Amino acid sequence: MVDAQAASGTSYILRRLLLLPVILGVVALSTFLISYSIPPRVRAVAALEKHISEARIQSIIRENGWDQPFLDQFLTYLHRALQGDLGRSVVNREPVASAIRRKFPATAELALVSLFIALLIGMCLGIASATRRNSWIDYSSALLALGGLSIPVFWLALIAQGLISEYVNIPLLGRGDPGTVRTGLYLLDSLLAGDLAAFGDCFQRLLVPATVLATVPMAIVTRITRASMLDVLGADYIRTARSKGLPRAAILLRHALKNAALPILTIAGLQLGYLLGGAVLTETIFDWNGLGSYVAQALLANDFAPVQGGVLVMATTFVLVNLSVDLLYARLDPRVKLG
Amino acid sequence: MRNRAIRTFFRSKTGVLGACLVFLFLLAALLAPVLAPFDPEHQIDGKESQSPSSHHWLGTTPLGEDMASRILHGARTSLKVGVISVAISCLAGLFLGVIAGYRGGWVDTLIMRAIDILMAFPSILLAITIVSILGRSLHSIMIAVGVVGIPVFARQVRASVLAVRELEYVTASRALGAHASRIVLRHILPATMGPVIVLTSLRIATAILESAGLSFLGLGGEAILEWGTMLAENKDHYARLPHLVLAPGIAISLTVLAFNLFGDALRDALDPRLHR
Repeated sequence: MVDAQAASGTSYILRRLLLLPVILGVVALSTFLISYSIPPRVRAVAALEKHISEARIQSIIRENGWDQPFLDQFLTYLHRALQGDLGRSVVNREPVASAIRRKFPATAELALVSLFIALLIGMCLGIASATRRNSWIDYSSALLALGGLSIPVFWLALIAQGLISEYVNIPLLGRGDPGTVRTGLYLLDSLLAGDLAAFGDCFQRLLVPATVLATVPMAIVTRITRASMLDVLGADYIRTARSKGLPRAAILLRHALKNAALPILTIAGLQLGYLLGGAVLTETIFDWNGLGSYVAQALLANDFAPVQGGVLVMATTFVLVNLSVDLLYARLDPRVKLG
Repeated sequence: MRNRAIRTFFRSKTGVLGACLVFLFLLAALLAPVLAPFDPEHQIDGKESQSPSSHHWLGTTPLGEDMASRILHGARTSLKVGVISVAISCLAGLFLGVIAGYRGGWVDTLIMRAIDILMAFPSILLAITIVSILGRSLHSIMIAVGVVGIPVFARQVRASVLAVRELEYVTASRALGAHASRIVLRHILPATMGPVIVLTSLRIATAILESAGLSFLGLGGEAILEWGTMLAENKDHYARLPHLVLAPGIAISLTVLAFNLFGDALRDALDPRLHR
């Protein structure tokens, strides 16, 4: 029985790993289609100044291989991408790969702080509503969770920005200046430089976008924590712990939360994937210089190399984060039959 | 069974609230041309934007258009986007889910792995990719949001099919020599309907939210009567004319909330096992 379970776990992990190159291949193919769907002539004109001669257009098409068969073009794209060459932006001629390297830490910092806020508030609300079922706190946290899932994040971002700029005097746009950039995570950079004033400034700028972005994951964490805690609180060993006369806090934290933690951690991991890959709207509104706003701006300028590269990197990150979470989950909970 | 489901639904206060809001939304969307006091694209006069008044309930835009009429017409667009994109997700999901669940074997494996791949994309990035390939327009948004929703339906339908495939009445029908298409239409599809109806309501909520986000980014093209686009158009006037930003946002939130409440209550009524 145990062997069979272990075998099914191994084959699950194996299947997930085998599927990985296929998924990444499809991610690459779909991003390739973004530029392939634009006629070569349009791309040639976009690549240079408006008025260029027909001969020049043709030569650009030939130089870039845009007259080659589909498969050849795709393989060239794949080959270059694997070597870290994601093309250049038409607008400022900057290589996409170096722009992404610069912007990725911004997105990661926003996502991580956002996830921290979501977990902190979501778990507190979830535990409170599970232990005080059908009380006002249960109802209000359910309402809050429902609101988090129904209110558009970009609207909330606009409102937060409007209200805060009117009533509170904190900087809202951009990421601030950490002094010297080492990791690209400004909070960390300013701490490493020992510059507390810069840390405060970067933290203030991060707080509002991260909180706004946290609403959806917070709603999900609240619901999962509540459901998971309710499951555990009904279990026999909790009753035993209670009858032994253990203090309430010890029961909640040491016995219940520890056992309810797995689904919460899983959902947190999945949400991190979404936060890394989906902050396009929030970043745009807060002028946050990350991958999401990079893609959004390029999209509107019909600048397709950054869109391609940005989506490729974000989707790949999402796939890898999800895979790690799933594998970790399979490892942590031997009862889980995945399939 | 059906009566019990209806009774359970109406016992849920939030469900009834959701149903009322959905009804109001449908009413606004269908009767917008009659209800709207002005032509939503008519620029009333060249004067400055007006604050809400008895004449213009939600004020006017900087171009002099009546905001209330624009919001009402925006409901039409949201309804269209919601219905068409969810129809795409639902039909494709039903088709794939039934084939995968009923046929099993390599067909099942192939379809489900394809679904896994589709789910490997964050939804907003997948939608952005599709809109970039198809070109910026409201139609592209509907298709993109529709494709994004396919996996949810396909997986749910497959699970429902697997649950009934080996039940006695289906096996009996097969033993009697019934054709596969008859078995699917008469026995399998009806069993999937409960969860599909619930998902449809919940997905309409998500579809309206996602398409508003995509239009906000400017992917729906310019000057369309869509709530997300209206937010984008008016966001720079927030400090001076907050009602122009509040109105479309509240419209989106209420509509999404309505379909969420409605869907949650439907789920409790139709599938007691899923009761939270």
